Amino acid sequence: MNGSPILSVKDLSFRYDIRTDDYALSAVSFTIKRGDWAAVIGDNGSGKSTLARLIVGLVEPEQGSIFINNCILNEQSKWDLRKKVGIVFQNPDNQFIGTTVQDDVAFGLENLNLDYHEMETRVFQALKLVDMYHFRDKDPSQLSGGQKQRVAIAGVLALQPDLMIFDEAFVMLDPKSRRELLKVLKNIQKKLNLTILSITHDREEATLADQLLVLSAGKLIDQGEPQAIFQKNPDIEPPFAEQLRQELKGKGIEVPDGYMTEDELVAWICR
Amino acid sequence: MNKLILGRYFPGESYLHRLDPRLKLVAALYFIGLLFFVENGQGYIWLFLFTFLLMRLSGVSYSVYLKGVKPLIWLILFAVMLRVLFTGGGTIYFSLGPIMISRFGLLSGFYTFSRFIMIILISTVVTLTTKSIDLTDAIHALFKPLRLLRIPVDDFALMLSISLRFVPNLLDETQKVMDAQRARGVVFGEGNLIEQMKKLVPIVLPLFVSSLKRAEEMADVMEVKGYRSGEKRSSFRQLKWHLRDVAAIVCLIVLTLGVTFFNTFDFVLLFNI
Repeated sequence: MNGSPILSVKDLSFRYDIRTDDYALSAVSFTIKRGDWAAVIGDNGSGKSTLARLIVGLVEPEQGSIFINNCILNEQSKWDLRKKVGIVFQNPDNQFIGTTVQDDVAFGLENLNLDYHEMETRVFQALKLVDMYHFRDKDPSQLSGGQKQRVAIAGVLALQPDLMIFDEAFVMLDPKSRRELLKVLKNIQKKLNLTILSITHDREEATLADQLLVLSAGKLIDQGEPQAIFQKNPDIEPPFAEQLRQELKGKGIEVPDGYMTEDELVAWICR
Repeated sequence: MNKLILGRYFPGESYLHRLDPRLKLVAALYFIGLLFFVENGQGYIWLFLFTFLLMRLSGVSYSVYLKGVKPLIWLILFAVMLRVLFTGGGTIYFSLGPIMISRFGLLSGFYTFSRFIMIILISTVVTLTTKSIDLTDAIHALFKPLRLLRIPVDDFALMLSISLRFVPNLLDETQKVMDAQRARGVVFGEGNLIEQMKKLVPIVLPLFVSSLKRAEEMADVMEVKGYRSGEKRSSFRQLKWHLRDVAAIVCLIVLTLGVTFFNTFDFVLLFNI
């Protein structure tokens, strides 16, 4: 199954106001393989969030089509496809629908009309995955932002999706909890063979990806491995480690060519 | 932040806390109905005893209950005064035009007073010992038959529980907006009534805007998580009937028998009309 396309977007165009020529997205095409971690980067207003909303069927494309699991997304199929696609939004507070942690995780399951025992096991598993099981009876006012975001992730995981979308889901977290959460996610992704599409400003988060998509003013300007993209596009601000490597190179220090992660760079400097 | 405790739930593990919320709700309504069937003073004393027993069982101090009665005391006294002053019959102690103080008047004043106080006390017992979400569940369960009339009971229950869930957030936000306005030089709690009301506008407007935005985001989340109004949903929150709930029903039966008994046989003649 791995390697087959789970999401393919063909020639996608969308504008919020059809009276203007202001396209939020124009002629965007790409494919994401099952089990991959893909990241979308781009400046504010480049159409990243619009892309996410299109993929989960919250807005309809003006042109082009979206295929999930080789099934086209439209008004009829969206309810079925949503069982396979989950999304976590930016603001943790507005995503918390249940009164307690476990009620919130169960919300999507209730919509599937599952029986109680099935829900119980799924809620248990999902909360265990994000390490929030101890908090199952707490209400949202007793949780920190990072914890609420973990609950939001559990709520989506409980639905057992194939594709998970994160729409700037970690912006509200401090760097430490963001790094922790990303580590947890990376583990979950491997364990469950999830496909992840993460929309982000964070360069460190982008380097986690297998595939990077760069959006600018509604157009897909580049895609490929993060390393390659950061090396060949000087306008895209690279992650800190790459910046440092380039600076060192500029000072005439002999650094190895090719992209290095932060750890690799640290190892190289301390060698 | 939470100066206003909606529903004023007091966390606890008492017998009353653990009772089924459906039962508590129905029992409270039943008790209020029962109040209107009492015909003499000893019946009221019997019900008072029961009320105090419940207040004790709830494990919440009496002063909290007094606080519940306090804001309504003038309304109660007003109703009692009307009863006392305008009811005739029995021995008349004083009279001036249409106003008179009679034995009947005093007694019916006492009855009115007892009814009001007990209604407040009993409903306070229920809200103090039941989480608002449990009450929502109870209301949901009790109104379920209305689904047959195509009334969207489930949607209403969800609306109610989401509103309750957002009360703390809204209070938080109000505080933030007030602070933001204070930082811009607004002084709250000063000036005459109209001035003070005008100062509320810059608080209410931003709150409205942010609530609408929040509602939109939530609607998106709910839609993506597969919520469709009118579709059949299962429920993760389960209400279970226990033996203790049966015991409570037995208590209610005893209470009712007591009222019937005291209505039939008068012992304390002093209180009778």
